[in-house]
Amino acid sequence: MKRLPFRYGSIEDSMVLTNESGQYYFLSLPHFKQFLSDADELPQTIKDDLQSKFFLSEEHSLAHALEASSLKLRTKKVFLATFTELHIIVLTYACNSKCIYCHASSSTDATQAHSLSIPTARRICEFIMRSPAPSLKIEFQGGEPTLQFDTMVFIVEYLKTLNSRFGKHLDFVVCTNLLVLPQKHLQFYKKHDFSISTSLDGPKQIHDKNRTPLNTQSNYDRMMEHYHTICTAYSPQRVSALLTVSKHSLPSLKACVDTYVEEGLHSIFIRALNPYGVAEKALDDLGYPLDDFLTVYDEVLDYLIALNKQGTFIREELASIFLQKMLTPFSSGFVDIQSPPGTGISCAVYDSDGGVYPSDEARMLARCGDTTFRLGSVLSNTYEEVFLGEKLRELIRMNMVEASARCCGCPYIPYCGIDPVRTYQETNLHTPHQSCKKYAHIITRLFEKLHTDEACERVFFSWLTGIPYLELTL
Amino acid sequence: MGRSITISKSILSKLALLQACAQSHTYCSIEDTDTHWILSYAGDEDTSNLEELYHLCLEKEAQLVVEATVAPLRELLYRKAFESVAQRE
Repeated sequence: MKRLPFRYGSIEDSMVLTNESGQYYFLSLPHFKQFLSDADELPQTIKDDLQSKFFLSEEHSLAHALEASSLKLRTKKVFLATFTELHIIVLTYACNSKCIYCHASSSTDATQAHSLSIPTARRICEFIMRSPAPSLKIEFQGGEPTLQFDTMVFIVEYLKTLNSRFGKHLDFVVCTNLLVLPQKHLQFYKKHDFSISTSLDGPKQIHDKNRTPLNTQSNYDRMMEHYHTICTAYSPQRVSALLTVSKHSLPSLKACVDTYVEEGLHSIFIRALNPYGVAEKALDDLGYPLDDFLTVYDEVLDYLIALNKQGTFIREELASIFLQKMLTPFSSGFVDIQSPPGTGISCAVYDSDGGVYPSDEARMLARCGDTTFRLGSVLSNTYEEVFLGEKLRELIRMNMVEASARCCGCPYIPYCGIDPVRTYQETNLHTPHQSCKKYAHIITRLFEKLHTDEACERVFFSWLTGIPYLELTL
Repeated sequence: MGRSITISKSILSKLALLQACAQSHTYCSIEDTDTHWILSYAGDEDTSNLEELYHLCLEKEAQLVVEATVAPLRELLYRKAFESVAQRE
């Protein structure tokens, strides 16, 4: 028998094989040695499994096995076929909250708002429509983007007018703190089928400490009131929340999960503090060692799995990004963890001054004066200069896990990716390879659970399908 | 394990050494003789890191040996998956 391309690593007392299309198989150490020395001697059931997952092939069917594997690999990388789908527009840097970790360096001072003008918005729309992707997702960011609601309305309507010539599928997302939700905003979101992305940092005490109100009214109370309004007057499926973990909330992460469950949310994205904007300047006060985060993350992952087994459906989104790649033929669509990197080719960010950046984090750096990743401007460059220029090409070329000296050989290559902006920032802060360590840790935990706990595998499939654990049959 | 490690070039290739250094958090100097690599510390760091680097070197060498058995097929796999697309474009 012939071995097909694979990589390997150890999981507890076994070895895990992975291949380019993301399939995996656990082998005991003696069987792994047999696989390397003489695969023909392996038990028939293992050989059958390894053939079905394209780790082994009979000599006479090698061409067929390679053909099938190449199709699977192409499916995994299908995001390359469509080019930039996600377009983020920064409407303003003004904000009505004063979050202690604000990654975007927003301002409550109107003179520092740097809001998007209509002529620049018009030019951004024309740029976006040049993308060859048949399906576009337009995401409004800030600051607090709803403070420039009229500009948002202009963009949506102008894009729809332009789209009458292109016939693309358009999706809209607004990233809002939900502190304001006038009726006309809600009607507009419903009319244009918006998704609403918000932040919920945990129980009221933690949320209000992280996301400091500008007045005496609790941000938590206002946000939750509007969240429930959306659920009843629009759709609970159209709103999702992100949890940013600060030093204050790290010891209480289980309580944060409880808040999500109590408020009826079915997903939680546990996001470690990112070293950008205000968070970077306040790392000593707000940050924590990565090892501390990972210890708590493991505990909370176990807690979430237990909740699901007991009948409460709640999905952890970061784990689900990896699970999507491990358990299905598809990629996740999460641009921060893909290879080639999503910067520019899957995601583009248009800053309020018309500057174009390859990721949200790149514009956060620019807001702090570091324009290393600025690709150009919609006001002075053509689409081709921005998206086909050498700067973006080099960024992509230099940041593929398949070609990285550090990554080659790693069995987690099919599930991972390099975020060039994060790598640059980690180097600047003399904390290299933090993302690598975090992702490898989480993928290892997921493999351990898949290897040892069949019920856990069912929980993971329930996260990917959206079917509650107790209703799911495999 | 002392402040330096000498490894024969017959068991550790340059590629494996470079890959291990890229992945390791250990900073050391590398002396390249005709027959050996000599990895050594200049400072007073904990020598357990050097030991870790040594094991990583051997792990990388083993990976390279295994990879050599499937590398031609991996290249063919990528060609089959993407060459037709590249030619089309």
